Amino acid sequence: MSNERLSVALYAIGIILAIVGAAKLPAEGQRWPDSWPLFAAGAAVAALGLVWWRLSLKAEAKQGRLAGRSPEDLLALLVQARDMGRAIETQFDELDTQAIRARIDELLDATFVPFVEDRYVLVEAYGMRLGADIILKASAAERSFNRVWSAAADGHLPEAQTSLQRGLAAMDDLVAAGPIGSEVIPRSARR
Amino acid sequence: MPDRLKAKAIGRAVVEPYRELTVAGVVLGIVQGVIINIAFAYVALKIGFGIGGSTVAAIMGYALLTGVMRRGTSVENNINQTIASGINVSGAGVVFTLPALFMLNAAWSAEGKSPIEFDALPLFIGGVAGAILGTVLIIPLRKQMIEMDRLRFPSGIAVTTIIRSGRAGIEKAKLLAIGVAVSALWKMVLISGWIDVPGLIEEEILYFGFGVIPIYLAPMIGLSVLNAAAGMLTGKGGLPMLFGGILAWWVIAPASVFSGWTPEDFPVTADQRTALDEQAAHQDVSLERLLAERRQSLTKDFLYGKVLRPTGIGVLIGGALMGVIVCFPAIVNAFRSLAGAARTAGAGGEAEEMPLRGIAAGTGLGMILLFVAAAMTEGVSLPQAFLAAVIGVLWLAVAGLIVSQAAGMTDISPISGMALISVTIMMFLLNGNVAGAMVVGVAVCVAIGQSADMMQDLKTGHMLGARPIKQQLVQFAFPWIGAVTAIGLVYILWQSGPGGQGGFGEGTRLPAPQGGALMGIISAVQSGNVPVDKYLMGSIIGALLGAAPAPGLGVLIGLSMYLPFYMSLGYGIGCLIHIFLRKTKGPLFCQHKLVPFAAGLIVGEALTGVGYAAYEIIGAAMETTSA
Repeated sequence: MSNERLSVALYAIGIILAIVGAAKLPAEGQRWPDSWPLFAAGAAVAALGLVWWRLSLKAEAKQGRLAGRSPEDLLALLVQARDMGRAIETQFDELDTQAIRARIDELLDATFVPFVEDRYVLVEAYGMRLGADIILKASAAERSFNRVWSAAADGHLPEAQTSLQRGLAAMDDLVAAGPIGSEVIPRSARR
Repeated sequence: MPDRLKAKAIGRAVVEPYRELTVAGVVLGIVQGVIINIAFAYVALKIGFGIGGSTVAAIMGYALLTGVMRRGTSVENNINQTIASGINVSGAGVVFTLPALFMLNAAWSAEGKSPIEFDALPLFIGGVAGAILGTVLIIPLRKQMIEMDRLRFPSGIAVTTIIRSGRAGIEKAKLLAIGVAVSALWKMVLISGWIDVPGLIEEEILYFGFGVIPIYLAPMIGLSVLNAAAGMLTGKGGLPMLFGGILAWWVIAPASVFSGWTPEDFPVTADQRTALDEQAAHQDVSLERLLAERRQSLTKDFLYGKVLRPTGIGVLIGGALMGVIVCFPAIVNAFRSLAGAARTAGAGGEAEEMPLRGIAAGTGLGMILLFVAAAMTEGVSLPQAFLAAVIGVLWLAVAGLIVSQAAGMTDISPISGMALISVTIMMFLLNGNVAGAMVVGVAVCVAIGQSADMMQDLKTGHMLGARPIKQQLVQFAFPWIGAVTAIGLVYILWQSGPGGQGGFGEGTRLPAPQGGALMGIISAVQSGNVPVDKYLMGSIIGALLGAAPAPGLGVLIGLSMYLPFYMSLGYGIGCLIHIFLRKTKGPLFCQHKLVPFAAGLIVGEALTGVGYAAYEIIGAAMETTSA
């Protein structure tokens, strides 16, 4: 059994013991139930399991053995999203509103849906500050692409075009000058 | 606008800016909000829970803005439903708390105790304070909850599906319509009681113990599809709620019973004995069996009321607070972004978020109003009012966070549990002054409802590509209308009773169950019977769960202990359906097929709720006329 599974099992046992220990009512005139030692022991076991769980995740992240996509895969998805968006922009004047929505759906399904699904891999790999920064900047771009869809559906193409440009600018920032451009992230993920 | 026109041609034809924050959207939102608020406040007094107004407002918005006006846009409808649901939710915060004050006053008068002195004005001011604070205090967490944690906010997804219906392709519209029809029909069947079978199906719950599984294991599942639909929209992320429910009812409950931690027996009065004798004769079962069932049922109530629910509240608090600590760097990023919003706006750019200055000003205004409301209450000194305002604001920020996270993960808002803690804290701070505690309690309940609603609407806004600042501005500006309307309505309904009082409460056509529950809590606080041990131990467990590398674990486990098992089970089954379909059909199937269908299930139940509210109000009006 892997370290991660063992640590989760220890953590779960601790939590269950703590809840059972908290379940008894205090006797008349008492503030705490006499089952508190069970609660305290359970909480301590859960805390140990928690530390072990976090350490084993960190170790697996270091060795690149986290399940699902790698951080590089996720960053490549963002680059792909920018490129797909750029292609829509290039052909924008030739597209009708239905085609714009279909292309935006395609972009979101191919890039942002899988990115969102595994986004915490970035936090595990690069830490909460940098990982969150990438996720939040990508999310702002995603909102702009959603606005392209809505504006196209409402037949307001100037807004769709403006929003597309805004989303692409956000993606450019993210890919070129943003965290993807920093030293922390492997160059292989950049274009 | 015809789809097949070339983009360039349409682009030239369009001259007016993209409609978002418009007079039409605002007026429609206010009108709908007030109407839905009155209807749902009435229903909440009748059945004890409210119904979200977002979906109904979105449908009406779609029909009026797009259908009738023929120039409405998706994001304009988003503004309309943001205002309408904000006003509606403010009313829910009032009707869950304020009735307790009227009912308690009447009960004390009947017992010969001195009545509680209270005025309408502090309550109005408290309600307005809550509406403002609930919005401004949650805004800094938008990025964390919606963009980082990606909380599902099932009703938010349902609203998006409605707003996009008709534009997202006929297939999605069909799936939405099928979901609406199935859910509405099923809900009508449940409300009518046609399928009720004593002991098997009662009050929309299926009991699957069949006399074999002990009742204290809560072998029951809710038949309403709403919870399952919320689970279908959440998927794997919601599973801890199912595990938590199983842990609570199938591990902790039997462990407590077998350890002898529950009462061995519950006294039976002579009247109860007679009733049981009659029931045994009528159903042709032995009296011993009925007595055993009663004992098991009361053991279940004991476990829920004295152990699981208070511990669950503690877990919710600990879990939510630890969640903030774990994500602190991301929250700092969000604050930086808010500070940056002011600079962007100052430089001539369009601000995306309400700037930090606006949030600080709103918080200051709300705090002053809360202080004024508390200070105006009979028997509250100025230092007490100051303390109540400061602690009240801090607590409502925490409670708003908890309720928003719970609503984001499951579509369920544990407002009554937070009201319980609010009133307990305020009773303590205000030296047992019930009126003062209720003024702040109303403010807190209005605020936490606003927080959850703001986040849900922002989720819809994110999916539609709306500008958060516009939603934030309208949610800041209008929901106080709902609090004021609902307080007025509660006064009017109370005075509609015989002799100008007693218009709601036990034994009337409006039993106000939440008010009754809060009355019980106030009495418990007055007698010093507060389960502090459960809250504190639960908070520690919640903190341990919240620190796990599995987002939302503390809130979901806490919620599963706080809620009746039949709700967690229904929600969990919805999650399992999502997981199964995802595995067999793939994530895009879930995205494009399951989401519109599940959204339809939520909308169907909401629409039936509106119909039921209208039916109840018309019935009551006819009853009054004929009397």
